[in-house]
Amino acid sequence: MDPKPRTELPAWLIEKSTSTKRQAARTSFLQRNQRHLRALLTRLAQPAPVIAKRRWHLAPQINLIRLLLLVFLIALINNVTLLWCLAILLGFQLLLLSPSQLRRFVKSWFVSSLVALIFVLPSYWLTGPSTLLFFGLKTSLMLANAQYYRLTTPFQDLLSGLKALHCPDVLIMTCAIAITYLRMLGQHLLLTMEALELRTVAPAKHPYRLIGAMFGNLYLKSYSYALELYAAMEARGFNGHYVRTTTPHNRWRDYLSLSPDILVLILFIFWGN
Amino acid sequence: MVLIKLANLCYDYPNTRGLDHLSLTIDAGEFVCLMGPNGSGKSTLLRILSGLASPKSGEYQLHGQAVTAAYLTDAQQRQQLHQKIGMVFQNTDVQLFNTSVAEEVAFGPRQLGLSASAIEQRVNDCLQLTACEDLRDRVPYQLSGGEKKRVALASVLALNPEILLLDEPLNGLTIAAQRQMLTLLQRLQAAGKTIIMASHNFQQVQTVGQRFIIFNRLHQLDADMSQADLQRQPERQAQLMTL
Repeated sequence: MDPKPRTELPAWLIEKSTSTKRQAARTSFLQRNQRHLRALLTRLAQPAPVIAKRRWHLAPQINLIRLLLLVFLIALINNVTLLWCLAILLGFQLLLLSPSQLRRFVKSWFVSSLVALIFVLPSYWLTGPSTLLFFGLKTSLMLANAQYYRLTTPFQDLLSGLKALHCPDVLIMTCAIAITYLRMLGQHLLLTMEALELRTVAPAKHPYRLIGAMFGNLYLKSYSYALELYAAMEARGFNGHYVRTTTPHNRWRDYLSLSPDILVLILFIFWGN
Repeated sequence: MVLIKLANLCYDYPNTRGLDHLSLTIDAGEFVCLMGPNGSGKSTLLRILSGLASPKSGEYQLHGQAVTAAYLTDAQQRQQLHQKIGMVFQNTDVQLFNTSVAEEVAFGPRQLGLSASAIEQRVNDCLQLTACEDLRDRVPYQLSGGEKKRVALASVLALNPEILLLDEPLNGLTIAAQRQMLTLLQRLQAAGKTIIMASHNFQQVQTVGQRFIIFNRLHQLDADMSQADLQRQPERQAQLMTL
């Protein structure tokens, strides 16, 4: 505060403030949904769930290959028995999860399946209920595998897996920044909304102008933050190449974990549909 | 007169505890300093007091009115609470969302339904009190950390709140600016405002705080003492100096 501030307080600031009771005004769409938006942002801004160590630590690339192979198989297989085999395989894996992890799995799987169902439902009018059921089951099985991977694989393992599979560095960096950055942006937006709420003492006259200002501000902040982040990474020796960290793992264990999926693949190739 | 009453207040974050069985009362017109190490629960308490968070258990009363999660779901009651309580965030970056400093300060008074001249008067007064007159037409986004703190305080003062919650308001300010802000806060307190300020820097606040509420690392109340009591305990002062 280098310039000299005024010393005496104005009269309105000395007066005891009286909270004005207002007539219940028609609340805007933003106000009605502010709490829901805050809850959503709180979820987004939460720290990443702690991944429990697996009993069998597999190489990150094997985990990734397993997931891709499973998704690929589920997408191609039209045989109910083979799909049932894959579901049982997943069921065995789920048995190894802790109760809290299992709860989290069920919750996120249910929500994601519900969202997916919205996209699957139109097929009812095209092909009837049996196809809808089959297609819905396949989609939810795919999502279950993806959720299991998300729940049991640390973010760093995903990056290591991508690197081991010779994924371009630009893609890995984009993925790394997007995931860490999304959380930070969510946190920022949440705090801004809280600050806005604290200074909202009446329904806003121009809520959309306010939303525009908030998101404009967010864009500017994210832009400058991205530049600062990259400069900080460069200052710490980052040259655009991700270094692959080697983790000790048992090669036989890796192959063993892949074998059930490969067996299903072989069955699919020779037994087919 | 008891303004704030907290009884057995507990708050939990998803993976950790925020506050552990906190009970205290704060009278109107007090200058309270919340002291404690990082993550001890100072900011959490400010969030609860401002109505941004609801305690997991325990009771929070303001003017004898229980501020519960149900109370906060009512938009009108929430807005009345926000008119009584103003808060300056630790990270003032998130608090400034308007296109100019003058707009930022006018944001609150504009909602109170004041006349254009009264709003202008409030904006001028607040900018003068916080020595931000020269920043009037600047974009808040481009201000320095210290300037943002001053603008944030000005924008909160413009609503004439009864209670001022300040989360580390002196961080990022020059020594001279710190002194000026503390003088302003003392004047506001003399005018009847209740000031609750979180800080981990005892040196900055030891002369202005009337009462010191000290938290420990377990998110519990470690001590609650007046400035005079604290003066008599050099070992406690030494402990606060090392926070």
